Amino acid sequence: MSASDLGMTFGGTKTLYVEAVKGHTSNQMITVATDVVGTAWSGTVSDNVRVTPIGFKIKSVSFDSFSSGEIYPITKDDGSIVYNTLHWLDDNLDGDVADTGDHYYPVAYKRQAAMVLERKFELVAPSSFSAAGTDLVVRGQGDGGYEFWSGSNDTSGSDPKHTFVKGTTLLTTRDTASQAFPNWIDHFDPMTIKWSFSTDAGTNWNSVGDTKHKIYTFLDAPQDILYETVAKIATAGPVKGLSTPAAVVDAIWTEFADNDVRRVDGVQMSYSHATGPGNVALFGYTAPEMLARGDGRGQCTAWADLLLRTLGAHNIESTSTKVDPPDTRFAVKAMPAQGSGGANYLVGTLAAGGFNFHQVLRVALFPDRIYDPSYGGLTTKSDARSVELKYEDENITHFRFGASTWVANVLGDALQLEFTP
Amino acid sequence: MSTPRLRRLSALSMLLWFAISADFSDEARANDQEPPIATPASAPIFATPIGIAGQRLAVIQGKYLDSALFEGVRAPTIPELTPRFYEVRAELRAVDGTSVLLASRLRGESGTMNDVGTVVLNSLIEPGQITLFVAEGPDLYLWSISVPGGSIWTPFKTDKPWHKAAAAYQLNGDSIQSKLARTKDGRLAIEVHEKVSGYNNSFEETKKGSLEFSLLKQWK
Repeated sequence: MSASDLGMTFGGTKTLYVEAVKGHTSNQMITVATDVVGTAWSGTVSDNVRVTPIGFKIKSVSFDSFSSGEIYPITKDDGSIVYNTLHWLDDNLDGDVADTGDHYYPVAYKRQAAMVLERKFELVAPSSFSAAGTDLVVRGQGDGGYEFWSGSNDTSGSDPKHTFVKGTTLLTTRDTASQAFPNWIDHFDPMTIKWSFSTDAGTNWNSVGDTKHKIYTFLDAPQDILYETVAKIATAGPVKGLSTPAAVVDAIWTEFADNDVRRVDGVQMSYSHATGPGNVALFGYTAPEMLARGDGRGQCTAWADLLLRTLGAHNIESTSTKVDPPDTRFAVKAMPAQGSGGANYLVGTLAAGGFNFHQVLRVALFPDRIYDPSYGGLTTKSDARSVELKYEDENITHFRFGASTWVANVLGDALQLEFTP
Repeated sequence: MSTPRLRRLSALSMLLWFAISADFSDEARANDQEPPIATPASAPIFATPIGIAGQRLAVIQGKYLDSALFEGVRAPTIPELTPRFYEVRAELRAVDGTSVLLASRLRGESGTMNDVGTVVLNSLIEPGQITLFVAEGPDLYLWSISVPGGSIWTPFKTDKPWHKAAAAYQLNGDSIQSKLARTKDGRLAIEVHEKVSGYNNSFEETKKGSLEFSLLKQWK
């Protein structure tokens, strides 16, 4: 590169900015040697050029929505943290979020919402450097074409969410994404945003680094606390790309139907009634309890609750329904259950003494269906029988009346189970 | 031999369906029948002081009986299950070893793996009335024994369930805790703590002597 490439004239000066060397947070002196070719001098001339790197490291990213009420806080599965701010934090500025004090939180939006991102950069520059006096621009380019642009001289007011505040060492910028989410469920795991800055209004760009974000979008506002695993199941895999509630119900159900439901930490959750010493339950009664347990175990009430919450994440109406025996107990057939690896789960069978009750789910959109997430079972009305009677015929082997009288369930007999509600 | 204590017992026994016998041992009873076919051996399963003279209420679980005894008289069952039977007796036992049978019943285990044994969880001893709260398999029962004479064995009937657990666990003193009491107007009050769920349930009799209960409160 010749001096003329830098626009230097003989004896002239030129301000240069170069991308900071990774690992340095202070200004670095470098020497640029230039060969001056011309008629004024016959020999080679060396000139020292002082280059002032600007330290520019991304510290944090927080998500918001352009319209209020279109971003939903996700709660850690154990209930200990609500992820409502500082969704990405590199506390020690080492370029990753893997260290103590760092974190990487998921974000949930309503479909068609527009992201607003606030990011903080650690800015190390000489006191002579003034963002206001420089056409400094920070840009983020996310997967899917989502772009963020915030400049020191951006006073157009086209983005009411835009802010650009340079402190002594912290540069805080905020703006709205270049496009809104689509009208369907989306699931980024992750969305990578490549950050860069420019000191000449975007003519030349210097890379700052990447941040990665789990971003999920929903049909409508969640009905209840949005747990991390619920948010993931509700938007991942076959659900991504869907826009109608009925299709979403079917797609979410496929995640339960194979009896292999994974928590975000990879643990396979299971249908269980195990107890430990002192008759302590080794399972959860509700979805939050099951999600919080290290082993991910839950009884039927927890599984019905998990499916209800997953559908409810899109504001799809469903009802957890209790199934009671006509008298004291009923027994179910031996069949695989959640997390059983395809083996029959025997609790609740006749030999094991049956169940006091069971819990299933009914979805308002499909009144002729009964979802039994504990076993990955779906009963759909297909003949003259009510769906309840079909469920009974397909799953119940015996009823117990009184203290010890077990009677076989005779197919075709009138419905004996009680469904509430 | 006639002591004041025994005279009181004898008078009581006139009005009871009872047996007074120094020979009322399990061994003697067993000798009248075929050899026992199963375990456990006859054994006391509950005892509590009952009177000012040092008497005790004892509940004894008998040995398993030959089910052939009940052919033709027991309730029909399904072929998948093999029921077993034993006797449960509530006795008044004097300090000198004399026993009075207060009540007796036949316990039938259905044959499912969670339906084994009899456990007396709690008792309420009142003049003229002994109330036992009993677990058999996964179920709760009340055994109301009048003194003198007569007893009622009934499932613990409630308007709302006490269990949050869907599985029918074998109940015992570790899995269920209970309290028995009377309300001011004489109705029976029962508190049940289901350990596996951590829930407490407070029930009261719907009316005095009905042995049917309504749930007042459920809390964790």
